[in-house]
Amino acid sequence: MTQTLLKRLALFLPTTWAVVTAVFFLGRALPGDPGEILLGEGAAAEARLEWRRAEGLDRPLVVQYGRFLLGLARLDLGRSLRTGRPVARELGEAFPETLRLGTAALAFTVILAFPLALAASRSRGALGAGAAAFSSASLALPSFLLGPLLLLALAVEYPLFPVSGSDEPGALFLPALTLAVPSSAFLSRVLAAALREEAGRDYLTAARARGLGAQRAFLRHALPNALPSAVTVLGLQAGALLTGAIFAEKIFRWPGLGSLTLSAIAGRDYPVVQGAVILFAVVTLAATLLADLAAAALDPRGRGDG
Amino acid sequence: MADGGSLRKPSLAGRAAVLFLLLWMFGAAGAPLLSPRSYRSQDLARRLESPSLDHPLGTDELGRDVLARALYGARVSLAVTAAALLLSLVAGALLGTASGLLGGAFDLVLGRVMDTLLALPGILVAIAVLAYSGRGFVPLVASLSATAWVGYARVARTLAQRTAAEDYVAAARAAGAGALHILLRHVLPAALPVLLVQAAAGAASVMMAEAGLSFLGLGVPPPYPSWGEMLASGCDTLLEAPHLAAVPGVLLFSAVWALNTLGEGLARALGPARRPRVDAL
Repeated sequence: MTQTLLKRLALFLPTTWAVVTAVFFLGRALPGDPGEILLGEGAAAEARLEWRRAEGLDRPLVVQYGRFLLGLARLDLGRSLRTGRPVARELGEAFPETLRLGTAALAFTVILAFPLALAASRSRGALGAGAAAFSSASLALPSFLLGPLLLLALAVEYPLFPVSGSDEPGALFLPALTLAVPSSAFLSRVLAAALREEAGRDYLTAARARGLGAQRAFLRHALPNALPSAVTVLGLQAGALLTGAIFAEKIFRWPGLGSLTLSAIAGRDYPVVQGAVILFAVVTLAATLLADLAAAALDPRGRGDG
Repeated sequence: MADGGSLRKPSLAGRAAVLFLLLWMFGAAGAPLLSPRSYRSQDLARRLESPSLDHPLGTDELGRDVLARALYGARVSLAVTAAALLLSLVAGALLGTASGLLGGAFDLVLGRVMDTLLALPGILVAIAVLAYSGRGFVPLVASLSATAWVGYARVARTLAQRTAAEDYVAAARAAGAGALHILLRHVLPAALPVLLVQAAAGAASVMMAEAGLSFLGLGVPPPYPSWGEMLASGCDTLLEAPHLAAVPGVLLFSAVWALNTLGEGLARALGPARRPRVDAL
């Protein structure tokens, strides 16, 4: 277990560093002068130079990069060009809303995916076929198509849920469902495939030969073996759900990190964009890391060295 | 095609997919002929109209003809998807074969770059690129290809290594063939069919990503229409004029479905891994 942990960390840290570095150089390499945005296009050349000096943008790139990394270590991401507030505070206010949405979506994903996978892999009748059809249709229905459909059906035609915002009770339901349906379709496919594979193994036949009932043999033996691959996929889905939240946040006007990112892009607020991209990336990588560790811990085959 | 492996006898779904794609291309190519109206002329007196003889699919929030915008939007999505597929295919094939043939430090560095890109959601990378580069056709294509090339590079790398180990390549080398000759005569021809099938299977996801970015307001800049952008503005007027979201929504869903069906069918019929599917249990 310790070995797995070290191996995963050895992968996580360089990847995070690579992402942070890429974001830094992407921001410096591409056109767009932040001074011009802050001071207006008509600002005097001296004023812009003065601002660049104050911000340290006239220093060599290496020095800027070093300062950037030092700042990151202290969670100092600079200040928003629009509001003048620290980027870390802006992100800190928006992120819990996205985390709330993402967690609910992840819970919905699991709740939807497990029965779907069980139906698709265990039932040969209409139920199994229906579950498989639902999965493949949902895969072709991205959140930005499903969201408006749900909005129209369950908030406008039958006003069961609020149309937008995050304050009213029940506001979480539609955006979370919007995110959960495509990701549960994917997860249920992986889980169903794993279950089918396990169901054909010899140990299951052996368990049945010892007199274990079909259901019990399945629950006691096949399911635990299929679980780790599902958990790994769930970790990848968690990252995808957080990024996908950008779509749900736009459709349902949810005041989270996605909405902040989009408005920062529209307003060319580069420090906020940079901070948001780094935060999205780090959380995604962390979710993958956690899922890998959980999968390793759950795997019955690896229990020996635990 | 969804249920069979043969190209000679396509299934009903396969035929429907081909038919839809042909209609789509026809609509995109013949947009100026099929719609007498312009996709950009505004008429604020006739906003959010329902379908009529004048405007067969109604008008949008600025009084523009929805049919014209849907047809010209087909051009945009077709062009962007094709360009992004081509760019990522070429970049992936070249970088992947180079990595497989050269090995060493190049292979190591490229491997790390690919791992990093694969660890992130593609849409996040695309948003980051577009946030700094601004909107436009070229940035959009580049942002879509920024992660898409990795899939082709990985396959190309494996295939290049496999081909390089073949006896006939050793024979060519012994006969005095140079590295470039081996690359062009042996390695690329062996890899290309596989990569083309992979590209066909990946077309739907590229198109979906393009629509997603356009939906977020990061697609081709106005006044050019795109289905994703039409869907986004349709969402803003969902209460008054639901057809504005419905038209691009239906088009997008059917295009993605058709590409998916076709891509999966091609991959199944021509793919290198023609393993029997294990659906029995």
